[in-house]
Amino acid sequence: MSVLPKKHTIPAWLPLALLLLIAAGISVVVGAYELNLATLIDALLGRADRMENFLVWQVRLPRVVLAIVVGGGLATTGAAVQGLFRNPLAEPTFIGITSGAMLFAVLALVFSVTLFSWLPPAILQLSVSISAFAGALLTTWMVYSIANRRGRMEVTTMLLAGIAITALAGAFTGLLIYKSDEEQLRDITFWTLGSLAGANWLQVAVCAPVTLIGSYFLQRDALALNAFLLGEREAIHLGFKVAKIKRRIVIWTALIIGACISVTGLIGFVGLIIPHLIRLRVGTDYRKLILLSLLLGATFLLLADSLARTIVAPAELPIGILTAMVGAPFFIWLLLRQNRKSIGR
Amino acid sequence: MITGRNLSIIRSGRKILNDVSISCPPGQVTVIMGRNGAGKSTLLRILAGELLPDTGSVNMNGSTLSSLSSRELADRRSVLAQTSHLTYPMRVREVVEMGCYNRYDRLKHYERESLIESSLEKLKLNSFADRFFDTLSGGEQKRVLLSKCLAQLHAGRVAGKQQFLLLDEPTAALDVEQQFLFLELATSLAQREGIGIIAVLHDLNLAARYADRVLLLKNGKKQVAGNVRQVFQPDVLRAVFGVACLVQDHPHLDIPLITTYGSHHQSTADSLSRA
Repeated sequence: MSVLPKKHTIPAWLPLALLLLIAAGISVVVGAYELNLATLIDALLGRADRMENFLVWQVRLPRVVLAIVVGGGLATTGAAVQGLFRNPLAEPTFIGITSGAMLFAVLALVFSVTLFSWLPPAILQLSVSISAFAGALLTTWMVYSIANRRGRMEVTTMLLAGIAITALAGAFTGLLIYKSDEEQLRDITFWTLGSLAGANWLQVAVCAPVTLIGSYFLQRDALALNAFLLGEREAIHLGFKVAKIKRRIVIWTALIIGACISVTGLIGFVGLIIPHLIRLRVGTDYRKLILLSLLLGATFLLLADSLARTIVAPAELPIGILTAMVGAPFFIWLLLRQNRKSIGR
Repeated sequence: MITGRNLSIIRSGRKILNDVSISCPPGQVTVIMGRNGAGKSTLLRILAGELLPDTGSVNMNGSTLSSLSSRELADRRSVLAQTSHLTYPMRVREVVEMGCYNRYDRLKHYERESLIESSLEKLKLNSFADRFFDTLSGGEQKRVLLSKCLAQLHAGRVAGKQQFLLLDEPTAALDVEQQFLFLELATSLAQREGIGIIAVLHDLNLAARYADRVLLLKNGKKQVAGNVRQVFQPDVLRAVFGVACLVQDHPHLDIPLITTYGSHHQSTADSLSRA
């Protein structure tokens, strides 16, 4: 391992950015209705027929942008949380964000859809999103306040509190599922499998700023996240205001994840595997890790979504199925590889 | 000068530190010693500004520690922790670079690079620069971390401002030669650059060799403080450490040579049985 790495003259983000562009191109073109390049360009310029213009501008493009935003958000926060907890298995799920979003989404699916069924479907969908977002923030706040003693946040306590709150929220979710009817059950199941179907510009307008601003702030704490790798005490010795930084990371993670999964439902494994993949190739340095995770996470979700749209066309597979199907075996491979490496050492 | 006045700290009803005062001049090596649980590391953490004492205060170059911001503090003192473990693999160079984080935006890229190089150089680590930290031996890791501390002090140096290096059991994981080399280096730095060193040590002879001042703690209380000759007396050492020992003049160096030969209780038992 003592071999010097080749000095890269091209910055590491460039190939990933190109990959992202290519993936975006593919994702706009493929689907139940295939577009060729000429029609795509026409449609982008608004010169194709009305149906194709609409397809590109109102269906495909918002979906592509949403996939970029959500994939990037999941991967970035995954990287940040793994640094915060100094635990390679950490995911935003760990601090209760997901369970809260889930409970409140189910709450909305079961109640608002029954009580306010006369409202237009777009509003109903929005109510599920807003509810899920509120739930995500609420449970994160609960976990955070349990772990926060006299201004000091114990990371281990936070993990345990996350598990407890997740179990509690899971129990209430189970209760709601028990009370729900066939159609609601179907809605709930699909929400937990995640999907980018029905993406629209409003969702993009909400998720994109939160994710981008949040990622920018996480990137600004890259040095502190590096220092955390040696432990919180080392970070204090090096001059970081550790308590403040931890709070900041938790808040931005909750906002990003809350915003993303409130519109897409649960999408697992992106936050777990993407940062690991970057670490394997480029190393642990958070100055690079945050941005590169954003790019690769976006690319990964774009490709997964393109596959989800084509594999059973004209129907669609929920994207959560695909990310887990690719993610879990990959993760096992990673574990085996790490085992072999540590034995070899 | 770092001065701690009447420092006390109470945890779950027990006084871990009880009214301890200490002063650590710049350019000198102050060694804190005592049994396990005597409060040595706690005292060091308070002097590092990492822990607030329940009573008393710490003063560094005329300003109280609690009035300094985290960044100002990191400019003036650096801490070598007892154990450090990396969660993910990082290269030696990246670990040493952490020493510059406090001044990251105020240093230009090439200034950081040359600072890293010179800090690696000081500990003869140049050939290790691109190795992974967790593949190194315990002694090598300690040197990397010391190199990081030096980078931090160098980056934070301001003319006329004193700086301090706090070492928490720095020789714990080192072999015998490394222990000497490590302390040799640290003390020569103190003398050359006027850095004040505060170290927690367990080995009496190492302390006798390198300390300018020694403070002995027992059950959280200051037992005695002074220079090596004043402190290293057989009855004092027996009272603090519970060991019977012989204190002689070193035949070659102008320091005391301490030979421990058993626990205090055991030696009294021996002498009784002989009588």
